[in-house]
Amino acid sequence: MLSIKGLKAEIEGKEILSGIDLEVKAGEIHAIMGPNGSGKSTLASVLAGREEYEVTGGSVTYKGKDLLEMAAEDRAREGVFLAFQYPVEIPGVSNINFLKTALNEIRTSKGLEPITAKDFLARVRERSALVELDTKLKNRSVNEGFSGGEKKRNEIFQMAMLEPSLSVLDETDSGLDIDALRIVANGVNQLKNETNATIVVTHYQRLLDYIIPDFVHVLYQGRIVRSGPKELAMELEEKGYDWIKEENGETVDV
Amino acid sequence: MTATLEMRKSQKIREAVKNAGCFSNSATREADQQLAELDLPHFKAEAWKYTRVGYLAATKWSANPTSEIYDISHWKADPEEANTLVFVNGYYRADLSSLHEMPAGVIVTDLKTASEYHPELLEAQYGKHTVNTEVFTALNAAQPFGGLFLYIPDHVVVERTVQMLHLVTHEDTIAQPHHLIRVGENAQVKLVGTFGSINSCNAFVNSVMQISVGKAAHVQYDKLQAEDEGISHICTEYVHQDAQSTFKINTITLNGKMIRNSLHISVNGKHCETYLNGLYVGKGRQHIDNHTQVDHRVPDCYSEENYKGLMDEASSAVFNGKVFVRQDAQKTNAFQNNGNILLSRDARVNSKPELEIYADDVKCSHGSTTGRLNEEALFYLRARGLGKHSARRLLIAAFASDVLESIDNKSVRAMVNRYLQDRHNWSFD
Repeated sequence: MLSIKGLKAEIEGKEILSGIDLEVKAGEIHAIMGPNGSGKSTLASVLAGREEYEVTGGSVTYKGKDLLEMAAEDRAREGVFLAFQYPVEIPGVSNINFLKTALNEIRTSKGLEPITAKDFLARVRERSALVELDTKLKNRSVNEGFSGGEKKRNEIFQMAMLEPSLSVLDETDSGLDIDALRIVANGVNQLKNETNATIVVTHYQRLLDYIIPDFVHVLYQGRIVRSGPKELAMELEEKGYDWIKEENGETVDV
Repeated sequence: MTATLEMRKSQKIREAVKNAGCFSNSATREADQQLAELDLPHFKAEAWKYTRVGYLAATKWSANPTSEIYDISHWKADPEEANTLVFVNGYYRADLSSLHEMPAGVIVTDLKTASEYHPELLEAQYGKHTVNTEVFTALNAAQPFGGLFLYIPDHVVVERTVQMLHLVTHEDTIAQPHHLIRVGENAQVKLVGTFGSINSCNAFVNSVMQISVGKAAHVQYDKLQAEDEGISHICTEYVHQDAQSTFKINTITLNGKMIRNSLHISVNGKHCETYLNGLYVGKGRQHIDNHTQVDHRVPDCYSEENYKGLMDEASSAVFNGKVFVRQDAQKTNAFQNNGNILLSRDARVNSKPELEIYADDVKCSHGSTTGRLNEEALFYLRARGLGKHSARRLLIAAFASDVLESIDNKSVRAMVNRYLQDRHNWSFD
């Protein structure tokens, strides 16, 4: 589904990604872990099409197409979904109107008819239950006045509504208490199937207690320095990131 | 030397409207005498710093009382329902207007008819709240072409909207409508004013409106300005509120060459409420200027002002919101907000909130912001599949929504939406 080869990217002349290689197949969950500043969020942003980042090398192929050539909205329409680390508050735009517009623009791009009001509402009811999103929040302005946990649940609700093929969850666990974490993870797990794939970007292992990855990759200084099965996450939890840093030639004060 | 040149400017326009008024009495003659002493405002005058009007003297204007027939259907508020008085080039057109039966005692007619049948009522109202030291007010008050005369007795609720539908047509036309509205104690009315143009690339509308809001009365006024790109419009309102009254005005400016709104509200009795909302949308080289003034003269009143601007291409806007809180006006609550979004690099806004507070126990605030559309929000929307245009439209609609929602009249809302769709390709439904 996704093939990243030698991906390099920079922002304001500073190189953040220094050659990333990653293969993601349908039905897989990949976790990307790493210390702060290792480039995790940059990778998520580049995949979603954020324009501040300049790709300086490498390629990203998604479903056989050159992802990097596509505008952010075209990526979304092709099934790429980024759950934001910091979901944006948009006063005056209702959550529901926004989702309906998004869903219909995606459908139109595929040559489908707009969804009927009845089907849309039925889907809203079903999918919001998945993340236990309060009915009131659905009608409010996008993320405005939402708590941290509500914002993250709203991201997963949107994901459930839009049914992407490739979801990138950028630090979705940050700022969540254990109950919210469980709800969010439960949502993600229920949406998982054989045709879609998920990339979970996280600093901590605790989210991976609930979303079980097939592969764990450790990102450091803009490169994937280690990949392994889910046990690698446990090892990181136990040892912290220092041993990764040491292995990669950085002196760590003990 | 400069003074005489400037003097000639205002007198040129004075000449152009000579004998064009629909009636004359001591008040119009007095206004004319005052006009003789006045210049067009110089840009060094603070209130006209960012709005140049000297060019208005370059055209040889003429009054143009035409009897041509136009299709006015798309300008009508509450078709079938409303009392619609039509003014073409400032003159009342009975043949195009539609008046319904009104509650007993209500007088809804035009200014000329009022001068003939209700001269004493007219005299009591005309010039009562206008300020003839303002050159454009004096110009209008000296020669009012036509206007709505609305007299609502005490305790009468007028259910049907009263609309003033203005059209200006032909080249080099000057139009001077003058509306007189008196709303009695505990009475109620909803007004709509629409301004449009037909087949004109150069015209000048100089309109004046006086509204007396009686004790505990409720008046709402939705004003929609959508004259074509060559039309200049100086639009002045004087509102006088008595105790416990509520006055709401929504000023929506969607087109025109140079639009200057001067809104003067004087709050003269305790426990009044005043709401001023505005939306101005510019593109091309349009210039839109909103000067508002709320004069809190007595204690225990509330005023709330919210003006929003969306400026594209090389358009420019001015917002100047003055709130006076006089020494006696203790316990005043006055809130003001002006927000602007610049949709292009060349658009400009000069925003100046002005609070002058002489009382010491008041709650007042003001805020002014000018910026671009939120890039983070745009990306967020696009990351969910919305195209650039839809994402912009959604954010623009969200920005304008609180002002638009204050327009209760559905047909006016629909007019505004239709206009924004046609002119800017923004769908706000």
